[in-house]
Amino acid sequence: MMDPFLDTGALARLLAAGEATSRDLTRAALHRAEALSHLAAFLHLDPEGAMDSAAESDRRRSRGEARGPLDGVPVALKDNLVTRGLPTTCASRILAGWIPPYDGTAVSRLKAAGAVVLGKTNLDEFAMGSSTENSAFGPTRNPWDTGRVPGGSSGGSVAAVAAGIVPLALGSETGGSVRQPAALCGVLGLKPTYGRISRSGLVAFASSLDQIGPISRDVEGMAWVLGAIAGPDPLDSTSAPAAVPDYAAGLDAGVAGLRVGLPREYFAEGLDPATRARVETVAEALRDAGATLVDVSLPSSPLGIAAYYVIAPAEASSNLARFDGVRYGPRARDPVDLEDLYVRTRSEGFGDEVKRRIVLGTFVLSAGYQEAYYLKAMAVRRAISADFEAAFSRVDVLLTPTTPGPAFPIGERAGDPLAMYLSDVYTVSVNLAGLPGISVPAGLVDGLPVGAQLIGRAFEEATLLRVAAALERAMPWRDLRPDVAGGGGAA
Amino acid sequence: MSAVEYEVVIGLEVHAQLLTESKAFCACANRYGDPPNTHVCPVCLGLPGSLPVLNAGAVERAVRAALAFGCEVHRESVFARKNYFYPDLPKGYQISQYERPLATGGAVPIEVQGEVRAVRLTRIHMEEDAGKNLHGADGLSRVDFNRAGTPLVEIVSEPDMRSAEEAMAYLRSLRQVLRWLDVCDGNMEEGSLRCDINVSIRPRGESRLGTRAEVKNVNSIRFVGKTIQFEVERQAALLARGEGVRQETRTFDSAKGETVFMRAKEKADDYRYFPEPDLPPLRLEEAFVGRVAETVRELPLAMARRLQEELGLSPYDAGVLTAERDVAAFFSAAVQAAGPARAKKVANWMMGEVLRRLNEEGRPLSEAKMTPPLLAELVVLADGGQVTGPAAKRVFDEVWKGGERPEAVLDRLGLRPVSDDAAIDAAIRAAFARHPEELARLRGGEEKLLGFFMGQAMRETRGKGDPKTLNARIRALLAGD
Amino acid sequence: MTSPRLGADDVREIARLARLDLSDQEIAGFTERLASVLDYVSQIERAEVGAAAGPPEGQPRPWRPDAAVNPQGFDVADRLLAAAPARDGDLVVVPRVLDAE
Repeated sequence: MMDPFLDTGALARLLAAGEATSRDLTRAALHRAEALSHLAAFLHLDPEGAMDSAAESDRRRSRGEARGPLDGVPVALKDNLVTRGLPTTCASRILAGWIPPYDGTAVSRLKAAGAVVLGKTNLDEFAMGSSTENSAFGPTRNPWDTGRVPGGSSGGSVAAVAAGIVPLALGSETGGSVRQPAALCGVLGLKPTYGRISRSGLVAFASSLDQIGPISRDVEGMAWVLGAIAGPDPLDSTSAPAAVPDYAAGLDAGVAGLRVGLPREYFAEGLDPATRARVETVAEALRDAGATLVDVSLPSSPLGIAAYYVIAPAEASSNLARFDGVRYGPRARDPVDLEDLYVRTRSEGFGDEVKRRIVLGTFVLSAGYQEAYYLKAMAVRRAISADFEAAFSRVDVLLTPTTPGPAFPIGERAGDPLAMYLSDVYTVSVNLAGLPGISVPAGLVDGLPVGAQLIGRAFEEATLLRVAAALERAMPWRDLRPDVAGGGGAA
Repeated sequence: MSAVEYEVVIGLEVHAQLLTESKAFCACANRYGDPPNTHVCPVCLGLPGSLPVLNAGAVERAVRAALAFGCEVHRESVFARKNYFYPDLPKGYQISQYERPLATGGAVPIEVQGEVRAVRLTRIHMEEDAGKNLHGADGLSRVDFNRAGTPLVEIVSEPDMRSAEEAMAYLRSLRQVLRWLDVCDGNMEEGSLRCDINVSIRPRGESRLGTRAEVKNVNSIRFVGKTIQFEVERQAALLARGEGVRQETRTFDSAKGETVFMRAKEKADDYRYFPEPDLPPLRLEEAFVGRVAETVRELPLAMARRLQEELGLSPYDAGVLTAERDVAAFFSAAVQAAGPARAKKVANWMMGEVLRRLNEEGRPLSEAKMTPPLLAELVVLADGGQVTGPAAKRVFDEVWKGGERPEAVLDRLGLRPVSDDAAIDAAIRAAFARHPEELARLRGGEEKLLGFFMGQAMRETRGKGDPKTLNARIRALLAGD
Repeated sequence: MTSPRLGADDVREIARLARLDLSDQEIAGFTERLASVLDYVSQIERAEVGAAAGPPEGQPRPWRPDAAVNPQGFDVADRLLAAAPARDGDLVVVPRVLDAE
């Protein structure tokens, strides 16, 4: 029986050596997904499509035409990534039954690299949340403790990787939705530089913050998937023209001489001491590997959440206006007039958190309030960017905790939006500044994973991956495996 | 009761669809009149995950219009979202420009009663059109998204116009320039050029503006005039009754020739404009603006003036020949080939034949077989006496039908002027023989019959007789007979 | 400027702008939760930051060349329309639109 926790690098080598076929891996992944259905990581599995893709991959390989290390590797996609012919619901009733007629750019690039799409994963409705509890189809559970949240909003993708169903998945970020759950489930989660990956085919939450992010068990797999999907796209005006380096090339270069900044605002009040200790272990590991630790300050970062909760809902209120029951998706029954059609379709289709954010966003953009909220938040956003710029004149990367603490119990913060929002306190500033950030596993606190976040200069994902690779060697997290009930021997 | 004399104040907002191949933010065809919902894609239908990408051709045409009217073209402008719900608006917002438009300032020259003045512009900005709601009698509306995402410029004037005549002249001038520059086809009936009119009145001498009514989507220049006349009367009647004019949106009912109440504007609509995060600011490089400026050289009004001053054309002829760019270009090319001294003759052929025939045949100039070099050749031949007036018309006919060179037509039909005395004399004698009575009267001193015999003899030569030779030979034959 | 207190009526009016219908109970809950979020968010008002300017600077991006290339063609138009909840032939149907925008 194959070890379900093999990472992308190991699977790629098995495939290359002919020791496993993509059909083997895909079948095993499908079985495991079924066996672990209680985690509710997936909203839709596509067994037929996946097995067809796997068979095609195997045929390519047998002809010597394998497309690269990802060819034949099963992956999972967050269900806000548009997939041709596969349902894409954003975990919302308002998109129930919608079958997109096109693939998003990242999805088609991943398919072009040969990856096998296993299915679509659960999320907070429209990616609005930090726990994957706000899904219209029920919450995803943390593989480490099914009584706890996996984090969110990419909780389904992260849980699928953490539980050993797939070695790789795509999530999306707006304020920490990949890094935060990755930390809480003990895997790697990357938020690339804004513009690094095309947003075409990512259902918009907050356009100026959204970015697709890969989730992986190993750094090498992360480098491969980023290389496969990054780069300019004529379908996204905000995709960056910057060239895509070979991210896997410099992973062994080490961190000697690297200056690592520790922003003191990220180690202040509100941080769980045990989590802090784990992050300090990571800092020490870097120092032991030859890096220099530098104390830095990002004075505006504490305002990040506040600015974020103005800008993101503002953009969301506009982005979600298209869900009106006219062109696609369900429509309210027997509308008496046009207003009734709009109001009932939207009121029945959206969940509470989405409605809350639409109302908040509509308010902060409305006449008389835009200046106090939206424009001020944009100014804070620029101040946060300036802070990072200043810090990066002194250091190469920043190291912070990813979250204030480990995963919280399901339901604990459901009634308190503000408490929920604060679980992204260390991640949102990175989105506001458009910088790349990665969460690497930092060990366990009371049996639950926590993460350390590395933040880099714009378009320096390669540096982040190099540091992550050094940490992977220094404090291997391959042995960090949840004891997933019911998931033992399916593969 | 002494009647108060009112002054009308008019400002126009014109939406012009840009003559691009494709839509503003996606690669769907920008085409009118096709079956519904055939030019749609994820972007212009607002499907989840789709993103706008700006059409370079739309930018170019918008900049061209802005340069033509002398606007300040901003090197950086910003797209914004105008948020409202409507079935023909797929995304729930319109991509437009708000705080930072493409261009500000500038003016449109108008000519009213022979006097040229400028109507100032407030701004020109880019935006996308909505789809079309077709309203049924069955309580339903049907939506066609072919038009959704069509690139537009909105051209906003200052409230500079003081009469319906001025507003109509403004719209005519604007339309002419937009057509001239290939920015917009100017078809108001099909809605490629649409006009919203802001009208208010105030007692003459008052400097403050009165409360205005906005009349939406007036779809012909004539209706613009009617709208304004109606509004002036309506508003004056309200004021006379002591009722104020309410700020409201109205629509023009062309059947009744009246404006009709649409909705009140009590509270400003809250469109929650904010910068469109899916599109970076629109930055124009100097080189780009320079290239576009190359395409905006002489505008129709300036050209008409030049044709009068340099070539001596009448104001009427100059106006007709510059009404459309293709006509003006045809004329210019023909004058260049024929030489400026023959400009008036070229103009006569253009007005008398080319435009008249196009009009009769209902065809555009682009489809004509006559070309500027062919027309110039004919004018030069006629001017040099190598073809006589009547024969020239026949040559024109042939060229018009087949695009053959005039020289070749002359040879093929044997229309070269006959000037050898023997042939001319034979023609004259034949004419004399056929009309002995008139000949007797001519001989009796009735000089005006000389013209009669000129015509008869010309007919005998089938129009080829050189008039000078004819005249000389008739006299010679009379004298020496 | 102090943060405005959002009352139930404000929330109802904003929800109307967003085409959302909230029950009285929802309104009450939303009002309370939004108030706590706005309170928190209002700390940005006190922040000492520079004046608001335009959006962040970026590199000029290439525009799309003006060519009508819809490789998907009418076929996709059909599939796009197939997703519409109410159709009449090739047209998408909605309750009658009253005034024209």
